[in-house]
Amino acid sequence: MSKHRMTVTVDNYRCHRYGVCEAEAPEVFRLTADGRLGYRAQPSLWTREDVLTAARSCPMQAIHVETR
Amino acid sequence: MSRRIERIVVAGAGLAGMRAAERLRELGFTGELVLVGAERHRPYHRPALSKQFLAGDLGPRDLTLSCYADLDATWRLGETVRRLDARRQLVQIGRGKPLRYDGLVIATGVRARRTADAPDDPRVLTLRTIDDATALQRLLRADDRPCVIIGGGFTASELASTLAEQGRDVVLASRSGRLLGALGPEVGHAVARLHEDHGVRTWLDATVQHWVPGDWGIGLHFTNGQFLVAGSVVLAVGGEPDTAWLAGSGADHSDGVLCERTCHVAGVRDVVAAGDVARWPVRPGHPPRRVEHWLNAVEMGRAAARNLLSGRAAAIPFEPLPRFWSEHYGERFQAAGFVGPGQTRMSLEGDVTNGPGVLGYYQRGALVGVVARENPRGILRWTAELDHRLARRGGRHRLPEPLTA
Repeated sequence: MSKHRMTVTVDNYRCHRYGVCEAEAPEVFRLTADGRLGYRAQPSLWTREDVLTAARSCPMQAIHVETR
Repeated sequence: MSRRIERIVVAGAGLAGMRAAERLRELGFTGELVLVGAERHRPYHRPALSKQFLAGDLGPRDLTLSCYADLDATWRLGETVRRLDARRQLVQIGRGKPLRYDGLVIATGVRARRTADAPDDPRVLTLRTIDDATALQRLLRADDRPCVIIGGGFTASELASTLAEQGRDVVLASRSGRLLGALGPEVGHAVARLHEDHGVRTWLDATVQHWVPGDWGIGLHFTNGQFLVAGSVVLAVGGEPDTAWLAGSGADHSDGVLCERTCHVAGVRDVVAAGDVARWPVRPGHPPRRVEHWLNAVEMGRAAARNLLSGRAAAIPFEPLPRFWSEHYGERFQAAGFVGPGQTRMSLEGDVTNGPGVLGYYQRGALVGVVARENPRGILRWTAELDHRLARRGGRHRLPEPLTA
């Protein structure tokens, strides 16, 4: 099974910006100085393990990851 | 399909059990995977029960946990593990014939404790499962009399906050002199003040002297002299590890199941444990203990799965940096490292009692833990700093940006 692309979405309604995702995958998620969460919607596949760790660790279970 | 020659049984279909199962598949385990869960539900997001679920923001279906591997598991939900014969590698599930396993993951978690004096009454409940939360929701909808919450820990306090935000009349009664006592007075005062500001009557050092259940409600007479009639009472007084089924197995199950540093259950073969039920030397050189944090169930489930497959000889010690969070009235409290009531505390940023900040916890002069209030960027920095200071092997919480403190 070859995977070519990963798409990350964060449910803004669920997300309370705890920043656990940034601790797990700083290359993809980042809390900004004004308290918002910035993230790459289509990060490189090499970040996949970290992104999945972030999704699993999210206190609000707000991160959705799709790999095709 | 290839012939299945191996079977791993995961006892407990909560968070730790599911993450262990997921990791087993990720690592290429192709044998039979059996997940046994006492509840009739697939693994779900328990922390939301006291918050978004009771607030009505999320429904039961929204709570189902996503899994990132094809589990291809045999789910035995609504069944309990009843007995373990570790020597013959047999586990008895429900009333069935004992099932042989090649590997076993113990992740049966904890069950909510009830105080011995509480009456057996449907209006006096605990809050651990989604069925508990649904029952409470039903009671609350049918009744606008006060809801009494007994307990002073995270579940009790978060539940009080959720209900108060909905305009409910809430009484929070704790036998302890402080809320969230494990974190020390600064955080306890902060949360007590938030409750006060939102109209929650908080009675500390108070226990129920008499229960008077009647058709008209549940009468409660407290040791502080107060009497009131409640429509519902929630006992949020902690949990007890679900280990009765381990009697006679050879595993030490006094306060959770005793594990080695690698999550292997001491004294038995091919058995690991993870999550709330596991007691292990969290910190090298410190006595084994249990860690009832959500994130620990994720991390330990994965570590236990890996070490089960690798075997004891090639296992990696599981030495996490504990992290947890709690939310009250929309304010985020986050902790990392080792925080306890007996430690020296010092403010690192701001003032957590009165607003945003970071509080440091010290042992023998060394920073070993932090709690942040409304400061997620602060907790990120300090988590990285703790990782560094505690010189943790394989510490993975990288420094996101230069330290400013």
